[in-house]
Amino acid sequence: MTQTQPNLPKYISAGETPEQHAAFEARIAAGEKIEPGDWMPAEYRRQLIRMISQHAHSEVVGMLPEGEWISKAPTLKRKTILMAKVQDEAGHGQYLYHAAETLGITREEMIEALLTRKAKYSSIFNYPTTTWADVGMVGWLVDGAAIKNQTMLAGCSYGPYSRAMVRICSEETFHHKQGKEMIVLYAQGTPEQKQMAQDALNRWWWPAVQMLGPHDSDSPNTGELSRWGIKLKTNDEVRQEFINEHVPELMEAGLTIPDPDMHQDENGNWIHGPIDWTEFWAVIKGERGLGKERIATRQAAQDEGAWVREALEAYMARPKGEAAD
Amino acid sequence: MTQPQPTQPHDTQWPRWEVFKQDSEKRPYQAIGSVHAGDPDHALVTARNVFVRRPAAVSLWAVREADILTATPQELVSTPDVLGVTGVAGLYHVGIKKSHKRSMTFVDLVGAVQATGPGDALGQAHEQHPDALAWLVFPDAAKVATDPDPGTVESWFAPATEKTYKQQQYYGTIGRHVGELKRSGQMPGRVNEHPHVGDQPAVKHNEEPVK
Ligand SMILES: [Fe+2]
Ligand SMILES: [Fe+2]
Repeated sequence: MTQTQPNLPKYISAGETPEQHAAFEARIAAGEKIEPGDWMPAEYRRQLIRMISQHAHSEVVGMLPEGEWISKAPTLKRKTILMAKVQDEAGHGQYLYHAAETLGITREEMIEALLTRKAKYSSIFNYPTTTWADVGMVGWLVDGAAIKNQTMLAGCSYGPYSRAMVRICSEETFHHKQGKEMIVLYAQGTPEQKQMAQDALNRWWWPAVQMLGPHDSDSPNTGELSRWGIKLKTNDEVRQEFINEHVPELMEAGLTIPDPDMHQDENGNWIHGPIDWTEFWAVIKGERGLGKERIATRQAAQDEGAWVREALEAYMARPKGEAAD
Repeated sequence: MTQPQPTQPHDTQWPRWEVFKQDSEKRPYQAIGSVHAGDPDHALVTARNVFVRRPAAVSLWAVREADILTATPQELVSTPDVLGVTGVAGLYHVGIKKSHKRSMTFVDLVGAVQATGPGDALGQAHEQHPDALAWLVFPDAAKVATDPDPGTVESWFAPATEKTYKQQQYYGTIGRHVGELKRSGQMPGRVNEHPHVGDQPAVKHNEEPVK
């Protein structure tokens, strides 16, 4: 009964029938949300665990490049804004770990996978933040690109993931706005400030364009993910939305986009020049960038927090009725 | 004195608690997600830090996952035994999911029923709200709640209200609207035939590799 049938597509796992899949796909096509107790294909569950946990790790590791700047923020206002943003990213990680847990993976397993580098996270967070202006540019471009992706995922078919995304999107708009505000002010400031903003754009433009993922032609999972309503748009579609919004705004700010081929076509879409993916893949593979440092920092946080977890466990294990002292 | 160390890395996740948030006295409690915590106080503090970094909360409840029973219409068909789950008799809170529309919450709490156990409570919830997309019940006795006295509400939730810089509206409209530039014909069609900053040529991305 549980043997694979060789003539079935491989997203139909052993023990599943084409009829079950058809009914499942019909629910999704009708706009229904799948909830944790519902029947779902094993491959749907596996892909979601992979995506949601990666996404959670990205939020958590995403705190690191910006967190470095909290103590160096130029004013109290900027410091409080940055602290709130970094706190939000911690919260986003929590929402997403929770959503992944509803699929039957534990938080321990996910954190273990991150620390042993079995799980991935967005390689954008392995780029260094070189000056204070990078903090603004990351907010504007990296959070800006993330919002495009997250807005799409807010409409995805899995209830807990969708809900986490709706909550995250409502908070991300602040991250985007504060970054944009900072950069627009710098771009209108002294020549040095303007240069800082431009340098930051030069560093972050291409990584931001690339963080929305490989071209559709090089993206292996897109077929199943779109059939199951997990990915409602392709990487290239989301990238186009991001570029269409940000190119005119960056230009309006008086900055120069480091892509000599960028132009608007007759439909009003801004068309980027060829993307050089060599750096993107080198950073993903850990040949370049700060992957080792990021995981070491995360591991140190895990180790340094061990005594808190141990103390709380001892407290939980105390005999009933014993006072906390 | 030394205890033998377990050879397996042991589970430090702690129990999961479902969090219910009330935005104002007039609004229902809503299931917004979960936290891991060792005891009720820890659950509520963590719930505030995770879910109330923005305005709009007057009260939080936390309920251990083990004390919650949920079902979707599909589950009532595939595992009807869920209606027979026994437990303590008493007052049960009822939450229902009303729509497939985008939402931040799984269910809204819509009332409470006297029941002989969780299965009975779920059955009553199903009868009262047959069209719901999911039902959730838990005993009133299982919930822990933030203190409703005004001083506590103030100290737990007011700080978030004052931090207006966490709202995008705080930043207003930045720069001229792009549409305005387009209408006035000031938006160029090509970005940078000769990319430059002031008199300096702009650096091409592949000329500045990551360290
Ligand atoms: Fe985030
Ligand atoms: Fe963000």
